[in-house]
Amino acid sequence: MNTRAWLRRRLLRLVRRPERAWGLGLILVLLVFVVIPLGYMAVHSFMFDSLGPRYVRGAVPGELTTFYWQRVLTGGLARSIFWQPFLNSLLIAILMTAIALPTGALFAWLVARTDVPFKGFFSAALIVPYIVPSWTVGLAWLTVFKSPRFGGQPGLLYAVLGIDPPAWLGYGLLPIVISLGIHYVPYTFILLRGALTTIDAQLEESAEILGSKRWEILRKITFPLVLPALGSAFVLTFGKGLGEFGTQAFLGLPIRYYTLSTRVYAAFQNRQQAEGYVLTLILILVTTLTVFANQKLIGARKRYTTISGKGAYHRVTKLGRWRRPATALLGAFILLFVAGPLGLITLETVMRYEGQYALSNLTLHYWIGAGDPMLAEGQPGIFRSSFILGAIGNSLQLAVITALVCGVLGIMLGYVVVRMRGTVLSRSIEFLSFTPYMIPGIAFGGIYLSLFARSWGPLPALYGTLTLLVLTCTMKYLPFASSSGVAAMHQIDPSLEEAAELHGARWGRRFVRILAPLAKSGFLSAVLLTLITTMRTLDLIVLLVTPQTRTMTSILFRFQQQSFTQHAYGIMLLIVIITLIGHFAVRRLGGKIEF
Amino acid sequence: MFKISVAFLTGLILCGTVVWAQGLTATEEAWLKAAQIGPYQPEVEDWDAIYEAAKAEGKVVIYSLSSRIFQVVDSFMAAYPGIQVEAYDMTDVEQVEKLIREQGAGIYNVDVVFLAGVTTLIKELLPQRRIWNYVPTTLLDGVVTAEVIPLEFREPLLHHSLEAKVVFYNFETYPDGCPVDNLWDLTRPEWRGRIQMKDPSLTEENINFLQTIVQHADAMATAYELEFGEPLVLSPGIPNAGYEWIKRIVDNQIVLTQSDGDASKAVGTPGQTNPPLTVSVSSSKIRDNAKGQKLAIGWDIAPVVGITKPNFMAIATRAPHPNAAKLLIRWMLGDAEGGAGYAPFYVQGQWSPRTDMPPTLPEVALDVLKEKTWFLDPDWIYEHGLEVQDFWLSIQ
Amino acid sequence: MPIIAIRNMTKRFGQTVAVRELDLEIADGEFVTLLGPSGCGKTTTLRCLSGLEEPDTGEIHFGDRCVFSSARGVVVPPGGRGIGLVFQHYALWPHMTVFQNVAFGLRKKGLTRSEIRTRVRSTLGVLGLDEHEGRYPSELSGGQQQRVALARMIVTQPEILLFDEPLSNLDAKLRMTLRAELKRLHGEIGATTVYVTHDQLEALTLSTRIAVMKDGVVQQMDTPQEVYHFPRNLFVAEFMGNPTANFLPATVTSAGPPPTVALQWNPDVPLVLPSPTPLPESAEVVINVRPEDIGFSVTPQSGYLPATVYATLPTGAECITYGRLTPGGQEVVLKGPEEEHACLGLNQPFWLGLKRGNVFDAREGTLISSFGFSSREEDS
Repeated sequence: MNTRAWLRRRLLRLVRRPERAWGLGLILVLLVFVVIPLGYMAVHSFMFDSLGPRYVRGAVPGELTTFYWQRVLTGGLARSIFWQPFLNSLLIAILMTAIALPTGALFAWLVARTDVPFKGFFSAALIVPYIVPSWTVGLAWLTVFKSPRFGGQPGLLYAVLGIDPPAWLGYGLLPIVISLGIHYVPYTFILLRGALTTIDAQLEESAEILGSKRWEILRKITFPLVLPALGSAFVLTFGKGLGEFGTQAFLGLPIRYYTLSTRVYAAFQNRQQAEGYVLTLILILVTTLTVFANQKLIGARKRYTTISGKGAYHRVTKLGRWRRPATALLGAFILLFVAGPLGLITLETVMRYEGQYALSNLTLHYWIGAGDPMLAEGQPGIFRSSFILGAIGNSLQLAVITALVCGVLGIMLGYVVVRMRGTVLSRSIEFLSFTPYMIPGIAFGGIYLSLFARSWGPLPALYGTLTLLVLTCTMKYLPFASSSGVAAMHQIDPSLEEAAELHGARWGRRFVRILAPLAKSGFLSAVLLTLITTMRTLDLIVLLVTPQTRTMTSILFRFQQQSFTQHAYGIMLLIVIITLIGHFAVRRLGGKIEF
Repeated sequence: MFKISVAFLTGLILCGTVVWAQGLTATEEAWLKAAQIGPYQPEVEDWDAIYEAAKAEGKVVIYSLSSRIFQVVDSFMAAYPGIQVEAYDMTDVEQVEKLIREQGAGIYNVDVVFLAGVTTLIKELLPQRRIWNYVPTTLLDGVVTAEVIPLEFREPLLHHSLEAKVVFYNFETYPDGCPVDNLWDLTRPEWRGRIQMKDPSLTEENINFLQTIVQHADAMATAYELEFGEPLVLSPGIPNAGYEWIKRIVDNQIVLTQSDGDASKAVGTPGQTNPPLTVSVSSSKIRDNAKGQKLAIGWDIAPVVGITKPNFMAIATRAPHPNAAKLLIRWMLGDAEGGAGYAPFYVQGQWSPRTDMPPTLPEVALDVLKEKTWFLDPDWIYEHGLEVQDFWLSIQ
Repeated sequence: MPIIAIRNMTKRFGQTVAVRELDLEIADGEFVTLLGPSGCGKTTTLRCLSGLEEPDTGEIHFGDRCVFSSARGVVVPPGGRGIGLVFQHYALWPHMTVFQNVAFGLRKKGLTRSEIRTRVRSTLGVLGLDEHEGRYPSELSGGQQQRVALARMIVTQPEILLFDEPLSNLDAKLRMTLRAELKRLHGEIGATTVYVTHDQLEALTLSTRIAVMKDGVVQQMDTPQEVYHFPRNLFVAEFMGNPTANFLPATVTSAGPPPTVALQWNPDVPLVLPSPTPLPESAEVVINVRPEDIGFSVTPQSGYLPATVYATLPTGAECITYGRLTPGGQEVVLKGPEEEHACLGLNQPFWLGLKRGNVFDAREGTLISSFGFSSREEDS
């Protein structure tokens, strides 16, 4: 075959079928923004950082060394730096998963399969913990259980009832596990509710005809069928438990209860970068192992072969005398962990002095007051402070841009992955786009700070720009977008596009007329997930924000550090409100939360 | 293929590592000359000319460790029309990170940094020439700077102010004075779980406090004998009295807070019967007494009530508005009565380096403070500080 | 000049060869069916014709136009080939109405809005879809969806029509109706048609010629009658016909003519084949007789083989009877009018005779000779 003819054919194919060109482009993007950061971190974990000379006499920054790995893993301090926090992290992840999974599963079953009332309301309300930042419950917890011994004003329990709660109730493992467990109930709930409603009813009915009891069907038929969904929920929850930062910082640091992620934060905070990299790499490794273990245990069946389009109608299980308790349980959960925290936080923002629960103490100063030097060092009310309003603007801008970029990228990714299914390119793109999920936010932000702060090849210096934040959030939340995109593209048969191609429609027209309208819900789902996550992200960007690019979460963290409680809670409330509005707006357009 | 890409990657990354050049670059030299800073600072500065040049520059950017900077901004802009101030409230770490990243990226954005991290500044940023020490030759009221600010507060870096990190007690509960007279008192069982401090792993100042305790291990040992009347017996593996004290307050369940304010509020809240004490909390928190807090400093604690740490001002290398920066620095040093530029910091628990400015706590002038607290020693901390930091980690 | 010519075309998917060195010529106005089991390469061939798939090597010509040539680097995109294609699952765009679906291909042709409307309406009229132009595909029945797909294809008046198993998703009755409609449509438009199916009945009823494919190679390309009666090899013989034809292994005992064979299961009864052509002495052969070409008798007859009834399956007009040769027990299927078979009860002995059929070389699987056909014996 002569080369010119071959080249010509290649070229024609590239024009006609853009997935190859796109695939190569995406691979390039993933190499630059996923693989190189990982490589950078790996290499730098073997180099002395700027504090190196203070640890090892005569060390030169940049010199190769195994010092940090030894220090973290085997040195005299290994227990404090790594092993103890690591065990704490594991324990938190295990226990919070043990809370989130069964609770979410039970709620999913109740809503999907039983005659429990107010299903629409419960369905909507049970997603709220996911929409609000994970530390909402944590902060609300503090408001109730804060002991006067731990500084600042005491919590509600002490202020109103005079009970001094024990330390283990206010801080550390228990509140962390409970707050995180509740926050991640929606993961299991959404995934399992989806699985339960799509299983072919005939599969269960045939067991029923064979004389199986309801419980037996649940155990022997339903449970194995939803196992892949449970597996996904497990990985999502467990991985988050390991990497989560905010809650663990708010509720762990005061009693020196360190976890791997707060250790990573402390390392970067103390400019011990190489040590931070080592800890991060270990964190990535553990998360990766979880993902692979799950795949091994449950098998690679990611999609349920048992789902047929028909027969999704399920007979409703009558709860009988259990109906009232079940309803009460759902109601109590929402009251205690959804409405309660939000209510408490709202209350806190209108109290002149924290912890003084009296009518005379109520004020709107922290919302609309001008600065008062006696309160919060003269920080004006939220709606009067250009500093805070600027952060709100930044957050909105960041979330919207990131969500849109992620949505488009997700659809492109889905297109390439699905259309080129079976090729190395497709597999690499799918794997690499999932990798950022396994990198903890705090570490991800740290690497991006190191790599993209200064100009690098053709990339301009991004430090202090919103672009850097958008880039970081986009790459970090790509896994959400890509899984939505892949799912959306799976539902579009290639023949729909081919039919248009036969009519001479070029790629652009095919995309606009055929693919885009059909992938709309997938696109919106990606947009929604990214929007919510970006809006409340803290650990990812805490190292990246600069005064100009401050976000609501970053100033919230700073206010929290300065104990400007009312301001912090007020901003949190705003985040929740904005996220909820965004959620309902996207819902209205036809998007919904899917994983 | 894999080997090649690894080599390529390593190469890329090595190239990216900043290697600080030894000599002054021509650009830096030119900037110094134009800005009249460092070796080019004249013997006598012409402030009118500087103001004119500053007006041409139009603005000045400052990173500040305190949100009180915004009050300075207002007074400065009123005094020097035509110059805009952009002020950013940031922690020490954020300022340092930002400065290094920006300069690494070739971005020269900030003019004045106002921060505290003594080791980082004096042992890293200054020798790396990321910042320059700038001391106005004369101050606002026309006095010669060298006459009112002692050399130690001008070199190697200009001090804006000094703060102590101290032991607070609640004077409402303890009207007869501080319930403890020795740092070793804090290791007694009655104070178990009743000592508060901001988490040292979150802030350089508090790890500096622990480091300075270790530096003065001998004094700590003497203080122990003073308190208990017998020589200190070190726990196994503990090298000296400083480390021993740290170990014992941790064993005594010291409570770590996220901020100095959390700790001081816990102590100063009125109406308590059993309030805790703080260690190493910023002395300027005493101003919260105006909000009804009942805070008092245990000045007579042996061997010291705490440490004293400086707040520095410096001009960032290749600052785009050096003349406006000079004006702002002079403004912030205030005058003999305090002055508008210093007013937000002219509060109890904060000391100006100016000898002509009356101290806010009359009984504790700067020279008294030198006896009551230990001043930070950047050289010692640079050499040995990380050992203390590691020790702190190891006893978690 | 043939309107479609495929020359030496090969298409691989990874390690598997889907189409191997295919040569195929189709004349103007023909209705050619590509028939074969799944994985035989028929759909790949069709997709290569449409341009949706690109062959690895070879050439494709439409009339005097080369639309693909690996050697010269010619690849005409699907839209430029002047073809229409109906997909197996119709590929109707779910977010467009019937009208929009059909009009899609016209919008690029520089027609005015009213011209488009007229052409879409008339096409919908031809297919009896006038009422449904504002509906969405999901609101239509399977048959209606199929008609929309047809309308969408023919509205642009392509010279070549391609069908990819278009009727496989419909129930039997509807399939019958639409088959008739397709044949009529072909007659009316006269466009050259290539039709892919695995249903031999569809192939036999619709085509002017059938290409039977296996493992990416065309086994036989002939008229339906030729393919049915004179399969070129055992594969085609086995694939064609429902129920499947009978295959009786035998040895030639006397070359003839007429040749005599001994069946492997029943060597004691010498069987004389009514053929004027001799067979090689003592050759191992397979005798292939279609069920309707087997005669039977309830009393012994010379040259007939004894058997017993295993099961009878009446279908209304005709009856399929399964028998077992005695001795030996080999299964034999015969088909005939129902009233004739009515006399056959369960396990009843009967005698059967081979009226006409084909003889294949047992080892090569190739056709050696035919017997019993009134006029065609010589041809084989």
